[in-house]
Amino acid sequence: MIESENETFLVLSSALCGVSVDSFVAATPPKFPVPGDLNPHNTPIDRNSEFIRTLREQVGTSAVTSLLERFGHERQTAASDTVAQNLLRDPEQGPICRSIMKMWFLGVWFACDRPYDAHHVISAQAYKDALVWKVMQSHPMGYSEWTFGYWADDPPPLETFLTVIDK
Amino acid sequence: MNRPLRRCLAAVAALASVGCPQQRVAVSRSKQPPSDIFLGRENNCEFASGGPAAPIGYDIPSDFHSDRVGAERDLRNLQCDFDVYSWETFIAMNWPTSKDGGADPARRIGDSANGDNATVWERWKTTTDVFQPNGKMPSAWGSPPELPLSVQQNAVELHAAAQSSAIYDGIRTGDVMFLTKIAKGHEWFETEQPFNTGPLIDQNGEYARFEILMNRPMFEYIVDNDLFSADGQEAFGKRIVFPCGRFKKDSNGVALMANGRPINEAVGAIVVKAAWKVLSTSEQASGRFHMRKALVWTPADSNLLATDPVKPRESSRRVSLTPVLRQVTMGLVGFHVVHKSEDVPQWNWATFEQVDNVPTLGGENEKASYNFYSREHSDMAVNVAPPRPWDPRTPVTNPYARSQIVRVIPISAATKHLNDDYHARLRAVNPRSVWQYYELVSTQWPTRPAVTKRTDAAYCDAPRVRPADPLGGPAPVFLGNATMESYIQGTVPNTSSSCMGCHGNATTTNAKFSDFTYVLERAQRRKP
Repeated sequence: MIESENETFLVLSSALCGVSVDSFVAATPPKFPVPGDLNPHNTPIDRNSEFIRTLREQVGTSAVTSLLERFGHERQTAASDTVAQNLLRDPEQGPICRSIMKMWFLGVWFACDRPYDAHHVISAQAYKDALVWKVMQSHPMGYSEWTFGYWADDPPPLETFLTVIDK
Repeated sequence: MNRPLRRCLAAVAALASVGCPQQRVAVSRSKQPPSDIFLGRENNCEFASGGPAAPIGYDIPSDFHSDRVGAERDLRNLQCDFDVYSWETFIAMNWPTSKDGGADPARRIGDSANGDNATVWERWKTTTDVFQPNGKMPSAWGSPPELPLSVQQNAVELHAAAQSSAIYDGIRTGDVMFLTKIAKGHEWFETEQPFNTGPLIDQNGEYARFEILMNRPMFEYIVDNDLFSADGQEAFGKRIVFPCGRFKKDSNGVALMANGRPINEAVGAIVVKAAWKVLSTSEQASGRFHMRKALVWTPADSNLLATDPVKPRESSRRVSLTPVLRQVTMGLVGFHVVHKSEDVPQWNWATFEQVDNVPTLGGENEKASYNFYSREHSDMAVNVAPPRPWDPRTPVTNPYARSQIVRVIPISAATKHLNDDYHARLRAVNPRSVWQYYELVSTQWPTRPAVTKRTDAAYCDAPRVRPADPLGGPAPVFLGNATMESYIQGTVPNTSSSCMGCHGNATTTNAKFSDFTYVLERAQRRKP
């Protein structure tokens, strides 16, 4: 079965961020795949489509295709993590990969040539679904789905938020 | 910490990067959605699982069911199936009643000469019945409704004895309903508009009224566990887990089927929130509303006339108010139905409206008149609470002091298609059916439901099963009813209306999670 660009992007994101594909469940629940033409502002998920769309807008379609093709090609003979490390060392594709990581972890776009300046928050949903909150076993400032009084208890264990790829 | 994760966090923390690819293109910083963002190209719902073939029936489905498998089980298709589940529930709950208050299997929805009928849910217990003054135990299920004592006393003063007696008879037989709530902040002053956003005033200047009712399993759970009083809630000492609806299943957990549909075993907890408007003579004759005779009570409360909501006492007009008791004909304009079940333990949140309520923002202003929007005053700001003071005793004559409501998130094309399908079925029962003038706005459901086995200790306790994800990814993210979330529609997290997003914060009177319902907050302390 041929992997779509969206699927390849998800696997690449997993390798870059060090968490399993399932950890993006809030972004792309595998049980309920999301058609790409639903209203993105009222669909609970699909950060994956949103981020690949953002990436294409920001760095150009050909750069995205080139990145995903290289990742897909090298992954045939090397582990995803190894390929991700190669990409991060690449002077052209490394900055794109870092921006991808920042999108997933922060829900924010950082331009490749201005890596220290947040360019824009991709969307309110992207902000609240950012991985950084899960890594912290917490929730975004100003937004919590947890039940009243949660602050009196220890946070749930990390594995209930995401699965870290253990090498 | 593992290497890839450490590497990623370091990268994020340092925001480290060098150089920039040549392919980068300049893009505007603006992230405003395009103007047609809500017009989506959704499929129609004609392939809803069990949709076209599903009969109109009086059995409330115990749980959600979808025949879809594999790739078909995507968000869009499942939304269709949840919408079908909502419509089936709506029809069963609005089925004509038999003498015992249940559905009458010999009849069909809307089969009477005027296309209307008394419904099953209107025989359920209201929150006024359940949460009595001083934490008194509510009367048994099926016992005749009673007017609150304070209203009875005032009614005697306000009416001749014979008239009062007739009112009581109507209340007791269920022919007349009792309504009072219009806004938050007081025992009766309760709009059911969240966050104290204000009352809803229709284009006749009348204040909408609201009520909340619950079915028998929910009522019995509350009574059996003494949750109708604040003292009882404090003494309960366990997690509150309302009963789940469920299908009959075999030993492998597979639902048993009959005639291609799962067999109901237990209906589970259901809550209804209904919005009503006072009908004019012409509206009563229109045949477009489910109607009830009602006794509408507005007690004396100077807070109503406050011009400053922050300092209501100081800013109240120094006038002596007289309570008003009116006998009117009300029309159903909004209908939330919330159902807890095994496969949807975060509850299924369906909301319906009368079709003439409001136009859609940015859509075609296609009707000559609306219940809660004036075309003549299109210069008014929309979805803003009417200015204070609020006095629901008499109709508002100033058109600029009425509600001007639009729907912010349009009903999806798929749901519209399904609505058309069900309207045709209702017309097939009776071309005059009033039920053909109600439409499903949408259904919010958890995309990651916290499903448990019946033997699990945490059975049907979603936050206990998924403490990091108690809501389970609601779809759609935002959902509101133009009559009940009029002033908080939109797509801003934590601000715009989301059924589960809001009700995930619901608690008891002693601040314990109350299983997605705010009704338990109404319990009072017993008198010492």
